[in-house]
Amino acid sequence: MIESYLKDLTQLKNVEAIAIYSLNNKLIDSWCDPNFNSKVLEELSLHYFQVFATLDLSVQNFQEIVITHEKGHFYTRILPNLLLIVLVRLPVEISLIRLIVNVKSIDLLNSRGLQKELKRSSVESKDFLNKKYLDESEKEYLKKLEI
Amino acid sequence: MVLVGNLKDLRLANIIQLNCMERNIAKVTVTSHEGTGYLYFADGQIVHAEFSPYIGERAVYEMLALNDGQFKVEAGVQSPAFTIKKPWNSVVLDSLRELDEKSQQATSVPKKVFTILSNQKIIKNIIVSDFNGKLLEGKASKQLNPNLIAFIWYKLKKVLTLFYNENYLYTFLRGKEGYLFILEFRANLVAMETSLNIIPEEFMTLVNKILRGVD
Repeated sequence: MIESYLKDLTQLKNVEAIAIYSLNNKLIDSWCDPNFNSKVLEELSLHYFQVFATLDLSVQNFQEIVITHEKGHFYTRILPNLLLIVLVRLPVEISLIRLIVNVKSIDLLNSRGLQKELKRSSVESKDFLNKKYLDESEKEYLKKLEI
Repeated sequence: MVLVGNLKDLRLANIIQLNCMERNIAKVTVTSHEGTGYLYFADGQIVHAEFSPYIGERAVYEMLALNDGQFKVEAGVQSPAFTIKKPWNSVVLDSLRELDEKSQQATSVPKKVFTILSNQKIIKNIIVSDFNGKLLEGKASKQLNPNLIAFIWYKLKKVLTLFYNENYLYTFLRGKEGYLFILEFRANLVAMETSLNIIPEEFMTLVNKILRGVD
């Protein structure tokens, strides 16, 4: 699915990994550079769902999160019914990633393949902020936020 | 053998020194309100440390920064990993020196940072807080809630630490009305709201240039 609809991203030099998840945190598809350990992609999304859930409960409306480190970025975007994560190395610029996602995600979101996958994944929403998914510091932060 | 106590009675640096000098194979668990950390010893060295979201030398540093908490020393526990290569005394001395520098600067930095950045027209609103979400400068708002900022910073830094060893630089969140930037500066979190007209990379270059003036 990623190779078909987000080909422009996979063809960009220095894009290390791309993953899409349903909103109940099921990995729908992933693509990664041969040197990248794809297993980690399964762990990655929960943290983002927890951040977005906290933002929602704090009545904050953000659709995009970028973490910038010394050698690149984690680009994350909430799309209708999807979470998209792109890991890139410098010198790729976020504006380019955003542009490709803006243009190419429309076809992906309308694709029958994606609709089928989303139907297959449970529609039941998960409680990402359940204490069993949080470490002690996170529980403390959320307590202060009265969540 | 298990030894338990309070860090107020026996400093972590002394516990480390004791275990290294005695060449103990041991695990030290440190529990504080900031989280739980682990130190492992073998062959007269600290061989591994964890203090979420950090592992290795940075975890030792973070634990040495704790003023309060409980410790437990368990003899004979083998380390599950080996993340520290530096001699124990370098790890401890470097950490203590850095902590000392930070404590000297800590009182003045938040105010300086706030004053200098809040004068920038492109910044709509700014707060400075500590890593626990305590507001140090600025006025908290719905978007600039220091506890929310600290939570987001903690989670996203954890994401980075899980996958790479590279240093965290900053985070930004993009919404319909603008950007929210979060960066670390010394032992503080700086959160800034801007409009959507700015280019994040250029904005952060400017902010970093301004912050160099705080030194």
